[in-house]
Parts: sequence; structure tokens; C-alpha cells
Amino acid sequence: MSGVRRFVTPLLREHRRELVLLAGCAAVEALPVLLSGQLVAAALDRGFLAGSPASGVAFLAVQACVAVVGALAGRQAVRPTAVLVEGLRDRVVESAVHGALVAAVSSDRPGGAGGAARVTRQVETVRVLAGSLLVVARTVLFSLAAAVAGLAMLVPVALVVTVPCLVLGAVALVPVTRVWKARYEEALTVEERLAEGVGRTLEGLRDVVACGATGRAAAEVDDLLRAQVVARGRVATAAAGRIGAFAVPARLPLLALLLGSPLLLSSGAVTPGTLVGAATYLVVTVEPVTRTIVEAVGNLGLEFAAVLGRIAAHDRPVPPGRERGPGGDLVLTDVGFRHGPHAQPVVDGLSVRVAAGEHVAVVGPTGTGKSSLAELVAGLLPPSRGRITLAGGSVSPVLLVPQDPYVVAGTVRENLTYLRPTANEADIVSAAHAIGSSDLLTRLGGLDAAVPDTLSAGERQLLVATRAYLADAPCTVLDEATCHLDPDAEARVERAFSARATTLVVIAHRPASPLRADRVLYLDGPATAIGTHDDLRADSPAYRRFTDHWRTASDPLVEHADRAR
Amino acid sequence: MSATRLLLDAARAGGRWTAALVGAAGCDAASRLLLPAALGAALDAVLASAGAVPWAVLPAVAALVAVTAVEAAREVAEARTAALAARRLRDRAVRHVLRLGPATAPADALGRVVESAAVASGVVPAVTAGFTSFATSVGGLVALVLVDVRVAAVVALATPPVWWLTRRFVGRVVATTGGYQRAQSEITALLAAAVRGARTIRAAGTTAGEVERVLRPTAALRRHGARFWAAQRGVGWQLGLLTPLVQLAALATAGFGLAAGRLTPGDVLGVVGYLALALGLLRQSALVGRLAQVHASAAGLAGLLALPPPPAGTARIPPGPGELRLRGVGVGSVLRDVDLVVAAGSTVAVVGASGSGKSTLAAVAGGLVAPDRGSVSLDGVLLSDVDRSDLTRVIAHAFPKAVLLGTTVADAVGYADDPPPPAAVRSALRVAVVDHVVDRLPLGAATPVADLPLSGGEHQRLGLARALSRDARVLVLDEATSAVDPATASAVDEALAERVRGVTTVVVTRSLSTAERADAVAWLENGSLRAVAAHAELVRDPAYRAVLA
Repeated sequence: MSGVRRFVTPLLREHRRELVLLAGCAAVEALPVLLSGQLVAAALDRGFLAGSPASGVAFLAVQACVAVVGALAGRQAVRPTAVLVEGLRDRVVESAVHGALVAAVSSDRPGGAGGAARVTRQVETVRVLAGSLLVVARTVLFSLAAAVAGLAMLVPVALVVTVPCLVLGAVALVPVTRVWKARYEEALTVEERLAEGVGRTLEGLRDVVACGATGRAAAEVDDLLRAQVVARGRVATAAAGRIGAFAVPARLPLLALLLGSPLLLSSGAVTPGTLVGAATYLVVTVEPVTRTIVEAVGNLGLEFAAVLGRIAAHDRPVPPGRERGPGGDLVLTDVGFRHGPHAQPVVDGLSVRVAAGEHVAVVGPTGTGKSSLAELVAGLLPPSRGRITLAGGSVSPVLLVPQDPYVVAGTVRENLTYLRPTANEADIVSAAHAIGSSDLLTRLGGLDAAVPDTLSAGERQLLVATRAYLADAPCTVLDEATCHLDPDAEARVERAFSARATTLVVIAHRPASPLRADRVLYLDGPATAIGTHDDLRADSPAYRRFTDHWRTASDPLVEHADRAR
Repeated sequence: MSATRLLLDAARAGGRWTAALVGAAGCDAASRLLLPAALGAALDAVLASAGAVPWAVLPAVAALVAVTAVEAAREVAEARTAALAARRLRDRAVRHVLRLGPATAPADALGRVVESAAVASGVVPAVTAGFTSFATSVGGLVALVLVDVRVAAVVALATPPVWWLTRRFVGRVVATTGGYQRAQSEITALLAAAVRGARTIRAAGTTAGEVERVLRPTAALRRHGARFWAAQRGVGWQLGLLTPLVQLAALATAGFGLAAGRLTPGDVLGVVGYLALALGLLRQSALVGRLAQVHASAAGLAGLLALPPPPAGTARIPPGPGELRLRGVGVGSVLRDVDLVVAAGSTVAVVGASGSGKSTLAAVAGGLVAPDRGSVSLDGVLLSDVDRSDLTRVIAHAFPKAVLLGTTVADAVGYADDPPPPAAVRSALRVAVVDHVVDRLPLGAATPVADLPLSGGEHQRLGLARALSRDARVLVLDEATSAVDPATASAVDEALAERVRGVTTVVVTRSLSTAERADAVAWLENGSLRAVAAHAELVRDPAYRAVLA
């Protein structure tokens, strides 16, 4: 219900006018129903059965006119319905997008296109269900009331049976529906567990086959399938109970009319025409409305509430934006980080001071925590122990540029000014010149051209590097952010950042990077060391081994780097 | 197997519930068709009788009771047949996917097993509902003809304009949905892109701006939504008006019949009831659509079931030392002409740059993937001739990213149709240097595997333990310790060297020390073997050292 309270209640409160309008339209729309039995009775008693077919046709013509009025009222009801449905859709899509995006951003576990598609599917379900619910509520509730009122006018005594029966039906529906709802939700859980179980088995198909566990896996899925058959059977039994609870009382008035009609006729309380008219109310309106109530209303309402609830549960507030304050020395004091409580520390007791404006390269074997260090420094991961400070206090002045660049769907300008919306044309041009992306910008068709989807990984990195340069953060961390660029372009990017008075930390993936840096932080568990490249070569055997390895592994690059020096 | 035969099989799975539903559908149609006639007859009898309740009322009472009872019975039978059909369809699909194995199973298998089967399982309810709807509307029209041909003629005359209006309405609605769906998929695409860029957004702290960007197409959504409602306003109300007008025209016609003495008041009541049934003819298109959906989903499942599983024989592997031979093995363009002999009890390290085909070679050598060309044999028996379960008994695999299945940690490590003894599981945990990690878990080895607070390296070691817990003749280790931290990795290496002594081992690796320790190194480049030699020989080549980063 929390989803309904979260989305529907405020919507209705905001759109009281539309609700009143809708109710008014629905009341007029129900007029044909209200008069249907009356006019049929009159057409028969005073027309066709009285030997005057012309007046019979006249009565039916009146009914036709009323039907036109009703249909026009139905037409007027579309507008407030649209306002309510689209208004709800607006709220829901906003909340769902919030939820999905904030979840992705805070968990750092990219959900991919599947999750995004699920969001739009859910929103669309809400829209369709809200529309159907409004239409059903409008037509069912008002028609039922109109039919009962019309019946009361035509054969007042029929009310003695009809009203108690309908009330009885509605009251009986409550406890049965409660049982049904509980079982329905239980079945939903079983269904989700089944999807999850099948998903896990298929996701681990290679493992199942390799473990020689296909028989066991199939049996486990079958257990879930059997549980689902049971759960759905239980729902159906309760649903059948619902039909009995409501349909039996709702049909009793027709039975009572049939059985009581001899008495009513002989006492003169009804005429043949009024009898047909009364039966018209019961057969043409009450009967189908009964079916709709039993079949549709419960299911629609429950599904509506369930989907809204799921969307509401995933929504969470957007984290506050990050403002970059002034920079200073970056100081890591005895910093440690581990992924889980039992995991081996990735970074262990690291103490480093990076002076403001310094250019440091971070190198080391894979799995020694280079990327974790980047996130720690940028304040995106909290250290398990120790302290990271950058003069300026709590506001992080560090800009992390990750390896997989996010190029937003929009213009080149939008992409470049992403981190500094106030940058002007001259700023952009000079940044592009410094980074070496001027040719790329020309090729893309200028600043106001849309960025195509077909950019190569290198072009994306160049675009994002220009963006980061333009942001002019006091401290920039490039986490393998230039790995798809060729060595010349990479050198130009690193030199552009390094030429400024701001701090630059490069998580390096090529041997040339440490040669360009003021100092090198070599991350390798206990062999971790920091110093200039030459000092480390001289003092750290591990670093020497590592760089030799690197050098021989990529001979041409080393030559190039040596030349660059 | 065709979609239709698959659906028949699913219907058969419903057993007596399917029979009950078919019966109920028949009863439903019959009782609904009888009801107006019975009500009319009852009315006439009441009008003719003077004060007493005539027996002629009884059929109407019976029809009303029957309608309600059938509705309830139908509800139960529909759910039961659908659930049983879903179970049959999903069971068949899952078993077939398990037979197909990882290399042949399609990527969307999960969607077909869950979604397609859910839709296709509604076959019996859809067919019976279609039958009831069709039978009652046609029956209603026939009944109208029987009661009064003129009334039936009025209905028949009104049908074409209603069809025409319906088509116009649907056409306009469809025209608006195109634009609406485009705006929707724009949101989906923007959201997917932003989710992929989550790291950048987090680092830049621009979540609020991103939400705004993703929601930008909502304006278009609103505009196209408004057009949809405009279509409703424009055509929907005319459609809503037509039904009552047809009813009134039919009623007037019946009134003349009444005045002329051709019809009784009861007949008029019958006309009212049958009209409602006959007008159901105009709603058949929804049911046809539902059946089409069922059939399309069944076709998706049938396509899955039609995929041929990789070849497997019935041969048993004879006892032997564990000599593995690959002869001219090729898999697509990933692997070409690989000839490799792994001597019994020896260890061969497979090295190469990423994308050189190392994992595929490991999977083929272990019989997990059947080669497209060439052959793999173990102790002289072709793997393609061997019974699947026998193969997994003698060859064990560990992967860079293990999916841990089963309930508890102990169960996940010993996960198999024929699980290894608990002692083997314990010793495997020890060799993978993960026993202390398991001991520290909240419930030790009995901790549920679903919510393990483990790092990538710990997870990997559990996967390694799973392979080691089996008493296998051949071990295939595919970068099974790539995410383990260096200190622990060397401990694992040491314990592993002891454990695999005398066991034929194929180990895919990027680690220098593992290659050093192997009896031979198979060096892959672009899907072909560049060299098979001892590490000491290869290490002089800088290109070789480059692949061992």
C-alpha cells in the first residue's frame, strides 16, 4: 500500500478539481442506465403492448437521446482521466529513474540495459492499469448505483431484496479477498523465487555441467515448479471463493424477482412492462457489472498496488552534488582498505604525502589496489582505517577520471562543459588545444554537433580528458583514463595536466607514464615504495624487476618513452 | 517439434484439470445461452399464471445457479491447467538447456524459460475462453434469428459500421503509440547509458543533473500521451454510443413484433439477453490476439527445444593414467588446428594474450565444449563417445568466475549429482587455502551460499575447492586464482602443487611462477599454438614474457 500512499494520494489531493469533474461526468454517463428499465417498461406498457407502437418507438427514441448525452459525458470524462493518468505517470517515471540511477551510482554495480528496460516496463504497466482502474471505477460503480436506483423507482419493493443482497455480497467479499490477497502475494513470492532459481541455474549452466550436477539442477528447478503449481492452485481456490461470495448475492435479486413476480403481478404492484424493465436492469447492467467486479477489479487493483510498491521501494533521495573546494597537499596517513570484513586488505598501512601541484604516477602489478587507491583518494570509498586529507577539509577537491568514460547523449559542448557548465567558447578551445582534441572536435562537426554513438574508445577518452581538463580541479586522478589513446596522444594529455599548478595522479598502464612523473608510487603489498623513477630503480629490487618486465613486454613503447624524455 | 505440438503437450500436462476446463467451457457456453431463453420462458409463464409460482421458473433458476457454479469452477481449472502447463514447459526447457550445455545454449534461454513459458502456459484457458466467447456470440445471433429474424437482421446491419469504427479507433491509437514508445525507448536508452556511466557520475557527483537528463524526453512522452487521449475522445465515444443504439434499434424491432403478436414479453426479455451475447462478436479480435501471443511464445520455446545438443555417446571411460590428446582441434575462429598431448600425471600451463583462445582450449580439453573440428581423447577414448555423467566424474573444472550453486557453502563445494564425501570437501577447502575463511563465516560451512560476504579472491578459492573436492583424473584450472592476492596465491600454488601430483592438469594462467612450475607450456597466439615447450626454453623470447604480465 505504501506505493499507493506515496504516489496516488498526493496526486488525488492535487487534482481535486479533476476528480469532481470525473464524478460529474460519470453521474451523467450513468443516466442511460438509470432510465433504461423505466423507458423499456414505458415502451412496452404504454406503447407496444398498448397497441400504440409509435409511442413505444418514441420512448425508445428518448432512451437513444439519453444514450447520446451519456456518451458525450463519457467523452468529457476523458480529459480529467488523462490528467490523472499522465500525472501519475509523470510522478512514477521520475521516481523510477531516480531509483535506478541512484542505485547504480551508489552501488557501483552497473545494472546494464536490462534494468533500464524494466523501469520503463513498470512505468507503462502503471499507466495502463491506472487508466483501466479509472474507467472501471467510473463505469462500474456509477452503473451499479444507477441500476439500483432505477430499479427502486420502477419496483420499489425490489429494493428490499436487492440492497441487502448487494451489501451482503460486498461484506462477504472482504474476508475472502483478504485470504485471496495473502495467497496472491505468496504466489508472487514463489514466482519470483522460481525465476531466481532458474536464473541462477542458467547463469551457472557451465558450472552445473562441469560439476556433473545436471540431474540435481533439474530436480531443484522442478521443486520450485511444483511449489508454484501448489501456490497458484491456492490462489485459484480463493478466487473461486470470491466469485461465490459476490456472484451469489448479486444474482439473488433476479431469482427473487422471478419467484416473487406472480405475487407482484396479482397484487397489481407490477405490470408486464415493468417486469421486463426490472429484469433489464438486472440482466443488462447488474449481471455484467458483477462479472467485472469479480474478474477485474481485484486483480487490477492488486497488481497496481504491487507495481507502485516496487517502484516506491527502489526510490531513494539523490545524493548531494560534489563541490570541489581549494586544493593543497594530499596526505594519506596509515590508510588501509579491504573489500569485506574477512577479505585480505587491498591497501595496507599506506602513508604518502603528495605536494600540491605534484605529478605522481602509480604503478604496480594487477590486484595490488591501484584502482581502489584512486577511489579512496577521490573520497568514493571510505578507508577501512587511517586518514586521507587534502587541505580544504571535508569537501573533496579531487576529480577522478575512470577508465570507462561516460559520454552523455547530447552535444559536444554539453559533454565538454559537463563538469563546468559556465565554461565559455574560448575556455573550451584552449582546453581542446592543450589536450590535443581540436582535430576530434572539428571532425565531430563543432561544439554544437551531437556526439555520435559510434565514437571509438580512444575518441571517448580524448573527449572526457578534455572535459576533465576544463574542470580545472585542484587534484585530478586519471585511472587508466588514457589507455585507449596512442602513446603520443597519451603523453600530450598527461603533459597538459602536469603543466598546470594543480596536482595530478596517474594510475599508469604503460612504462612511459612513470618516466614523465615527478615521483612514482609503486604499489606491491609489502614492497610498496615511493620516490623518483631513478631512486626506485636504484633502491627497490621489486620495482626494478617490475619495470624490466614491463619494458621487455612492450619494447617499442619504452623506446618511445625514452625518446620523449 | 512444432509450436502447436508443444502446446498440445502442455495441455496434456493439465490432465484431468484440462478435461474439467474443457467441460466447464462447454457448460459455461450452454448455461449462458440457455439463460435468456429460460428467463423469457419464466416471465411468460409468470404472466400467464394467476398468482402461483409456475414450474417454468425452474429452468431459469437452474441456469442462474449453473452460470455461477461454472464461473467458480472455471477459475480453479484455468489456474490449475495453466500452472501445470507452465511446469511442463519450463521443465522441458530447463532440461533441454542443461543438455545443450554452456556452448550451445542461447543467450536468451532464461527469458524463454520464464517469460515465454508463462505466456504459452495460458494455452488451455485462452482456447477455452475463445471457444466460450465465440460459441456464445454465434449462439446469441442464432438465437436472435430463431426468436425474430428481423431483430437479427438489425444486428447484422449494425455490424459493419462497428467493425469500421473499431478499426479506425485501433488505427488511431496505434498511430499514437508509435511516438509514445519512441519517447519511452529514448528514456530507456538514456537511463541505460547513465547506468553504464555510473562510475563517472559518482566521481563527478552529477546524479541530480543526470536524473534530469534522463527525464528530458518526458515532455515528448506527455505530448504523445495527450494524443492517445485525444484519439479516445475523438473515436472512443462514438464506439461507446453504437452498442446502446444497436440495442435500442433491436428493441424497437422486437417491440413491433410484440405489438403484432409475433412475440411475447418473455421473448423481448430473451432478445435483450441474446443481444448482449451476440454483440460479443465484436470483441473477438482481443481473443485472437491472445491466442496469437500464446502461439508466438510457444514458437520461441519450440525453437529452443529444436536446438541439437552436442554429441554424446554411451561409452564409459576405462581406468587409465589420464593421458589427454587434442588432435587438430578447432572451435569457430577462436581456436585453430591445436595439437596437444598432456602426458598422464603432468601439468601443462596454457598461456597467451587475452583473446588468444585460452579459455576455449581449456573448455574443449575438459569436454565442456565439443570442438567443431578435430578430436579430444582421454586414455584413448574419444570424449564425444563418452557418457556425459561419466565425463564429469573423471574431469573437474575451476573457472575465473565460479557461479556457486547449492544451499550452503559445503553443499556448493560438493555440488554434484553424486556428491563427494564431506572429508574430501574439507580437504579441498584446505588446499584452496579458504578453510579459515569458511571457519570465520557466521555458520561456518553451513552458511547459506546466497549471501556470502566474500571478496572476489575468496569466492574464486571456493570455486577452486569445488574442483579439487572431486576425485578427478584430469583437472582443468582456468585462471582459477587470478583475483587472489599475491601472498595467498603463492600459498595456494604450494598446496596445489602437492595436491595435483600425479593428476593430469591443464592450467590457464598469466602467472610466471605457475608457468615456471608446469611440466610444459602451451603458448597460444590468435587461436593457434605458437609453441609447446618448457618455460625455461620459452622465457628467452620477449614476446613470451609479455604474455605473462
